[in-house]
Amino acid sequence: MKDLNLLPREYQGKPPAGHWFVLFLILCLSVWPVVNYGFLNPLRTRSEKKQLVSARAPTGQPSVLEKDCEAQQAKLEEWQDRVAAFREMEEEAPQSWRDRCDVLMNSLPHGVSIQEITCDGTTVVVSGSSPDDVLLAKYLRNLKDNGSFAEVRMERILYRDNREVAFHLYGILDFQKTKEETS
Amino acid sequence: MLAFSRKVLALDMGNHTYKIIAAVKDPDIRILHYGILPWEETSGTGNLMQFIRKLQYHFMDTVLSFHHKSMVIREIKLKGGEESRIPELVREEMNRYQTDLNEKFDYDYLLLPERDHQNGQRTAVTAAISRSINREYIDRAIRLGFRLTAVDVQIHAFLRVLRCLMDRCRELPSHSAYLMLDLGYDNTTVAIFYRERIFAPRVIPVGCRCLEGGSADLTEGYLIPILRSCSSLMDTFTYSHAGIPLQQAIAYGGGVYARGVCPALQDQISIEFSDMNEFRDYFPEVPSGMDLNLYGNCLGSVLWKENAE
Repeated sequence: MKDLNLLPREYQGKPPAGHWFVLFLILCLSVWPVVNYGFLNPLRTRSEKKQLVSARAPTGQPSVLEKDCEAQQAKLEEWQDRVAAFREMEEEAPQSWRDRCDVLMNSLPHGVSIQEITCDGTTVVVSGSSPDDVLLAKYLRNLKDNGSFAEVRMERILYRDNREVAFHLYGILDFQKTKEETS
Repeated sequence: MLAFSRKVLALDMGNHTYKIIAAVKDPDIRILHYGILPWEETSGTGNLMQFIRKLQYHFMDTVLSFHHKSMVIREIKLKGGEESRIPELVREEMNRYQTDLNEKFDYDYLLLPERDHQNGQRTAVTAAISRSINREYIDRAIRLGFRLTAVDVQIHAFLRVLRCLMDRCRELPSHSAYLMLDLGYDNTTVAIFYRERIFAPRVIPVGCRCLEGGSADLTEGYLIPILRSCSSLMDTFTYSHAGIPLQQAIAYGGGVYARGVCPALQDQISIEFSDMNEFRDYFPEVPSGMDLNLYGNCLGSVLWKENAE
């Protein structure tokens, strides 16, 4: 049983008023990102992954594109190795060594002489004599300032009579600079 | 929890003031706000609409009630085979009214659950009101920003309050009949309540507005038609429902507070006379400041149910 209601039918169950519609719209807009990024996107990603796995499953082997990519990668590595080998060969070329010898010679102050140059990979040992230790020090500075060597240091000094000194210099070649100059 | 409870608004559009009660039904009633809006203010729009918005009344399901002399309440007795034809029978009855009174009506009916012990007949209660008047009130309420779900019949609204009172008050047994007087501003309604039924409601076109001068003659002019109608109603009821005790009259409405009205009615009516505020202890859910004489109908509309048990 219901209570009496004299509200005519045309006034009952009217469509929602404008503000309700606006509220509903705002609610939908605020809920949409949550639904989209929280639920739909993960679901979509999962289904795509599933599709990929199911596509791969029948063959059991990598696709043609992947094979191609691997081959290209192998070729690239091979070429890189070759380039590195060429560079090494270039660095060890006579021209390169002659330049370094020129540096050693041109840096000599007047009166300082070299008796022996020994090279072992990246290390150069220079033996010679100087009228005094001041000129020797100048030679050492000249080599350092030139920049062809990553490091230059005095290995040994032997004082003789009348202030003359015999020396052994030790220098490590700066390959970085050499490469830059080559390129 | 309150935010998710069902909030309802009862609006009693009286001739003098509009009464409003906002309440929560979950399922016990909890009154949130109540108030009286002066008629002058309700005819304007500015302040009242702000007030309605402030209290968020425009979001609530509103049950409107008002009283008008065009209201017709009738009972239709249905024979055994006629129950399936109720809508048709009610329509026929309404068509008769419309032809006789030359006016269109909005109407509704409800089928009372109990059957007559002797012949097994059921009763349908119909209520009808002038269509133009009904829509005038409805449009006015909508213009004020209320969202209507129902238009209640005031006398039935008060019957709900009385039913609630009878459930709680032992001094008012449900097997007795009660004389009811709604002392309104422009009209007075008298009727007898018996169980779930309203016996012969009458609208007397006098209200406490005519007492605004305050003279004794005016009081007499106001009371005589009311007392005459009450006597006639009680006689008719006693004659047709012999054996049913009619020992209590209950008055409510703004007229209760008109000077000398209640004592005069108490003297002249041969049964015990009370106003609604005398029973307020039985309504713990009603705030202490809420006058049951003024809010009786409105409280009844709060109890309105779309699907009553």
